[in-house]
Amino acid sequence: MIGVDWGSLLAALERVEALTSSDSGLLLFGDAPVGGIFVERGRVCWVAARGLQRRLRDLLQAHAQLDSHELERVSERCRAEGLLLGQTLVAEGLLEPTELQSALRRHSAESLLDLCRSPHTTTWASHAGRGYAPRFTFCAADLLLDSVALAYPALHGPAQRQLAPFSGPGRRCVAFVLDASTEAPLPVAESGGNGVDAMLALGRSLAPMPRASHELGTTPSFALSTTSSGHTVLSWWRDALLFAVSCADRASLAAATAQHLVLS
Amino acid sequence: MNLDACIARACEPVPGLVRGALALLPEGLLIGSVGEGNVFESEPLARSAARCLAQAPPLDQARAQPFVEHVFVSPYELVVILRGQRYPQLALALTCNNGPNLTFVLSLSRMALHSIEATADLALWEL
Repeated sequence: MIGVDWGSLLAALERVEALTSSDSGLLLFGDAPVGGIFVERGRVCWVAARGLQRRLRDLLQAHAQLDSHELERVSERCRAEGLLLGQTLVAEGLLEPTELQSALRRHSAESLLDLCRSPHTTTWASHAGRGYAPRFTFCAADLLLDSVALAYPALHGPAQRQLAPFSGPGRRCVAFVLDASTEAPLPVAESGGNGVDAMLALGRSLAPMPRASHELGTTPSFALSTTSSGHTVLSWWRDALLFAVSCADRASLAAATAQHLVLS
Repeated sequence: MNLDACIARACEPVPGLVRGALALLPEGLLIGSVGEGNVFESEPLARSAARCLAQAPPLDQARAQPFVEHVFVSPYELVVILRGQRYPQLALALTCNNGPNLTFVLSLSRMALHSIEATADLALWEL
């Protein structure tokens, strides 16, 4: 596992998520900036880190299945005409839009992990210039999940597979990585459209549960946790993964609990 | 009536009760216990109650709604951890056999804590 200061990473993404649809600009990392998160109308365009520019070209080349000469030709033209390489490749039919999005998201996650190898302060710089097409943006939660998946590749697949059967209308499901080196559980997979703030709050609230069960000397099949307003969350944990399923109503919660018992 | 006797009477209807602890939050200070074993065996219950109820931040920070109730369900036992309604600094943690119905255990555990809050003399603990 690569060394990441998760506190800096989570704080940066919470800051991005708190931006509104009227905010565009760059969240800079470090006093002498080493990179940042580009935001257009409250959504992430991509993340740049010093020394990783070349990596985006490699990812685009891999996704577009272009040879290096052809990519170089398009790249030179983009530089001369002030065009964006990825979008030009899409416009010329050399890359599918979904492939560009995959490459941008992968590059952004790699860059963000690189920017957060050590603690950094962040500074927001607004801009009102030319932006990216909205179809090529993504939200802070996507970036968080991509980053954690990249940092814990062996846990991402199992987390997604175990969570998948629980997704459904009115349900919000999150799988977290439990890493002793971080205070907060790290979201690695989700369904139901959870934001960064909601996932982190849920993870922090449930973090004591595995520790408490260890203290009690019990190995629960699952746990149910209820707030003062009667909202209940189903959770369970295995090895380094913690799962949480939040349901809109009691019937859905009972069904999710039964489903968990059948599957476990 | 001393506190342990009060807890024992309040928890008597809880089906399958093995052991229980009444604790003060946020420290998890054990102030009373019931059931099998000595006081040291109730300590993990008090510590877990503090961990789950006092050390976890609210689920919804904007609306400040922390968890007030946790149930750990394992094949052989249930552990119920409840925060007091009248005295939020109070927590009751109970271990029960996993024979009886979960909802039944939970309902009667809530009633037990309600009874403790209503009848126990907690002035010594500044409640």
